[in-house]
Amino acid sequence: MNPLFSAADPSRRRFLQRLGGGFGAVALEGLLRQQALATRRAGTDPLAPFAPRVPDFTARAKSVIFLFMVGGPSPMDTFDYKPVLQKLHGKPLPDSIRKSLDAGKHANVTHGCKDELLGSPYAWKQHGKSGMWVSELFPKIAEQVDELCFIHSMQSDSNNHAPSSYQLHTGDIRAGKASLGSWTTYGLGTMNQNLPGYVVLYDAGPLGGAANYSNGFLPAAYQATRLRDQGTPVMDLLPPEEFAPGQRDSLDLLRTLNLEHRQSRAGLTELDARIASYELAYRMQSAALEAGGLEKEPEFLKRDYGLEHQDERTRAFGRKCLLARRLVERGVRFVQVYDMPDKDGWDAHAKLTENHTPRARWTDQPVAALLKDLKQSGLLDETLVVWAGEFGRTPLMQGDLGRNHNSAGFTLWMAGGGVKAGRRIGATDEIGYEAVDRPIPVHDLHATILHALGLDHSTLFFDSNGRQERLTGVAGQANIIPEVFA
Amino acid sequence: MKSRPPLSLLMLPGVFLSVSVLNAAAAAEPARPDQPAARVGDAWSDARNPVTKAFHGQRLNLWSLQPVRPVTPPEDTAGGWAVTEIDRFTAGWLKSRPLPLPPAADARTLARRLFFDLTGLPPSAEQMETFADAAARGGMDAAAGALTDELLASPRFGEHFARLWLDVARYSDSNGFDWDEFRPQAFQFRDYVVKAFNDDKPYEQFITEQLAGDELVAPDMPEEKAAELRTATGYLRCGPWDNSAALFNEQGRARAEMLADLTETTGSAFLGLTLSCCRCHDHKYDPLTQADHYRMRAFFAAVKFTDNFQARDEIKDIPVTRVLQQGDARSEKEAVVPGFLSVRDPNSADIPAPPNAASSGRRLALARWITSPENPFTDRVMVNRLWQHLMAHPLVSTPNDFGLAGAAPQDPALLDWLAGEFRRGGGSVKAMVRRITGSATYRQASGNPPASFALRQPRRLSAEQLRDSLLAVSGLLTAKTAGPPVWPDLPQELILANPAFLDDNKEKTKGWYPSPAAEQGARSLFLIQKRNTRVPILETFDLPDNSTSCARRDVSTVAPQALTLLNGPLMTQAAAALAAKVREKAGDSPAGWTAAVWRLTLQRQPSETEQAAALAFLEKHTLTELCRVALNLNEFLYVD
Repeated sequence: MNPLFSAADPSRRRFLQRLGGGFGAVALEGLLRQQALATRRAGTDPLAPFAPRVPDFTARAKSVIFLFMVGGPSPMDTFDYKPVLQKLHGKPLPDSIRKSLDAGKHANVTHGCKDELLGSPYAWKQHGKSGMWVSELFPKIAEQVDELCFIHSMQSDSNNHAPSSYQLHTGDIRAGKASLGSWTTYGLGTMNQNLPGYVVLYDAGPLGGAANYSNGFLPAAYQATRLRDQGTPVMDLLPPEEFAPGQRDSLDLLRTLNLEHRQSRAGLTELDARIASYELAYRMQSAALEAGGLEKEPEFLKRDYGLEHQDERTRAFGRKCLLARRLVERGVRFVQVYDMPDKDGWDAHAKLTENHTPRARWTDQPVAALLKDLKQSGLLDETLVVWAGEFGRTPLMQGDLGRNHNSAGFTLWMAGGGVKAGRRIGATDEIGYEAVDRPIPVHDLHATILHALGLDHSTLFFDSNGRQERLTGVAGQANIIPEVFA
Repeated sequence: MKSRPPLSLLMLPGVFLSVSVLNAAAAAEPARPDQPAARVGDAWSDARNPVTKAFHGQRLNLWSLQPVRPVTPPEDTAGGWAVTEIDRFTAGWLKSRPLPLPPAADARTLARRLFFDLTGLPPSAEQMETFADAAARGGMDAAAGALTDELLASPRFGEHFARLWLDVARYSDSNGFDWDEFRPQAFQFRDYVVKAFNDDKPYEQFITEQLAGDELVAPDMPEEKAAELRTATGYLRCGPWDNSAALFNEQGRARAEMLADLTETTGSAFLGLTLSCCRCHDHKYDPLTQADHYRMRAFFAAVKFTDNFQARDEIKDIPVTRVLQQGDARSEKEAVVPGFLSVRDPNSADIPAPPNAASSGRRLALARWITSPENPFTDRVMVNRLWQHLMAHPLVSTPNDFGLAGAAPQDPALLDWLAGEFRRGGGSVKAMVRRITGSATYRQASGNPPASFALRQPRRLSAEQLRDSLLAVSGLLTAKTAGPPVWPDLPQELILANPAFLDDNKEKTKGWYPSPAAEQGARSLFLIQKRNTRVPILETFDLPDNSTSCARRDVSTVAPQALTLLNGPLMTQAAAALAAKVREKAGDSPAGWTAAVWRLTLQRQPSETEQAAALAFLEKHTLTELCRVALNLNEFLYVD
């Protein structure tokens, strides 16, 4: 017996009070049942899975905005300046680098390339007090460069989109595991019970589909909810026209009849939870509409984010960045934003400039505005912003002036949330092929992000099919990257 | 309660079982049955068994490793409560807790339960009335027995039970990964499973055909039979497949993942063992070594996929199976040969020539071992699944993990008795269903008891049952019993969630191809089951991830479910269709409408309170709105 519900009616009142808000998951009788299967992390109340929880230790960040550049942007054309590559443009791959690659686990990253190096076609300059190199692709992000903490030495375990993307999201190259956002809401709950705790924003999803932002083996309560950046923010949020005027009366009748049904089934919390879920759904209609109301933002800010840009794609990504800020401001725990306006994303197998130049234009201004806005409103201190793709691209040319995938060494950056601004961690070789200084596996990145949120990756686990699953793998072997914080 | 291995076991230093020890054991004898003396025995009886060394002889007391015991049902101590042998077990279990023996369910409850549990669909109002009449005339037990037989004979039975197996077999109509291509022939395996349940195919045969149907095809066999056997090997094809891996020279990884999936799924589905842990290292809890994973994997080493969603062996140059360090295909270690769990049998497996001379016989040897009466897992695992399917709470609450990290059976004697009966009954699923549903335990009234295999709480409909019920009561359900999947009409924004849809190919496997409106009302079993794009109403109601075997579905209660059921397109359609049906039956009188709505959705008359509330509502609102409320009722969503 669950001690919370040993008495019939007073407990029910208490129970409904406990549900209080609770957008997403109300009471999870199913979770109660599941406790038999799954040892839950201490402190997680299955009746209120989204209740805010105290982290393991002092959190630097309360929320995360993860900006995912689908397709794999090229480090040596954006943030990882390689003067030697520029000099070797048109030359074959140096033997030393080929040997080093062949000796390791990333020998296949030269597969499908010409033996001809491709220098970056973009101009590079140093920016900010930190003097960081940024290419001309991102002039506005470059103005914020002192806020950024770069990792130049990321490595993943597959050179194909879906497996590598799954790994960046879930820690595993195979589908079926739980994503970072699901783990975060499982570990911390969320701060606004009338909005979903884990939100994804996209026009087209990431390569590999919904398995990327899946709750995997975690309870369905920790599913991601897709929000729209225009129109009604959530699918099925509002009743169709014919039902709209009667919505309140319909809910009242439903409640009356459900309470009648419940009379002979006292103490069944799952039935109570379902009754409460309709009230929550009703409250959410207004909460989500309010959160989605970008038009209420001041004109200058909308302009900053690119909402008035001549290019619709800049406007679309700007709306997502602005909505992300509004969501974390309202207590949403994890917002995953995908830059994927079409079928290719940043996947520049041919004609790098025709791919990267417009994509940078669509994202530079919104991302820079997000950083600036978060900073000015003070939210940056408690919001961790991450910018990454599933891998980088090769310094060797592929096809006609393109670059192939490269999981042997790539760049991402973080900002806010207590990370050390103006820092560079790790390095690739002289042409940007392979991480040679401080190679960082994805598990370490995940352990570090959880650490920023005040969560210990090794104790954040869920029992599934006889395994203690963690974001950092069953073994939980991962190291926090200390330079990110100090 | 969860059974955990004692701490002392967990603190054992990790011992990697040297593969050479195993290979030495295998090499010490020529693997011929005429020289049994040289064979190394199981870890209990033979100190030479390498598992004894690896785990210091410990962890061998795992309950599921022990043979299924012959069990005599206990005496009836329940004073007339017990109807069948099952009840004598459950009554004893309840009395020793001590928990009260539950009362019997009424006729309406029992009929709804049998319909949903056996066919996944609600009874029609007429079927309910027929049953109530029969129960009043000839007694409830006789009526329930007759109804059970009728439902077991209905094709809807196989359609519903197939879902159980397709969850376990991680069935999908697509590859997953980047392109998530449609598998146009996968439905043939789904239809094979439906037919297997409807034909009551003996469970051993069901297992053997899925693992090795192609190896059973003998030269003189009628083509129809041979085709069915080959179709069954679709089981081997159900897992994810990274079809673009070769573009990046990662075909080795893709194949290693495929073999790992086959090994792990086979372990979970048939044996209730987590072979995924020992992919990377010796199992932390169970006496399974890393080498065991690869010995099992070696049974699948010759598997090749064919274009028609089947599998066969390629026996020329069968690749050597090697242990992979940390499961990483890029770090190959020692070679292994096919072998069963070394705790029971550390020798290399005997592999007799199969009827199909063009095959290696490896998978058939594995199937024979899994289905042999000595195997302690197979029958226990299946009867536990069937118990769960009918009673919601299984005897072992971790149906895919019978290891030390999983749960122990709540009533080990009942589990073994059921396993024994299942074996003696020739692996007949229908006989086991009849046995369970005929018990007073099954026919009890639901209440609010502690979670237990012996007691019932109201159970929420599964995603498929819910959608199918909405279609059924509103008259939108269309007849479909087999064939290619139906593609629902999804909004563009959901289709775009998988960018591959934007880039269709000439083979027409990467796009989204909505079926004609007339087919949209098919049972959920027949809807396309993509890996990377899921039907929203099913996903919201806890459709499991189909990348790996799912033994037990989650039941969540979240606000998006309320939004879907209030505002989603299916509800708009169903409410309108139901309203039209009601008008047809009850004309224009609100009192008649109310009675008809209750009769069609809940198979009963409304109470006076309900009638009054509904009539007051109808003064201001439409019949369609009333239908929408009825289709949202807890009573509609839950089976007592």
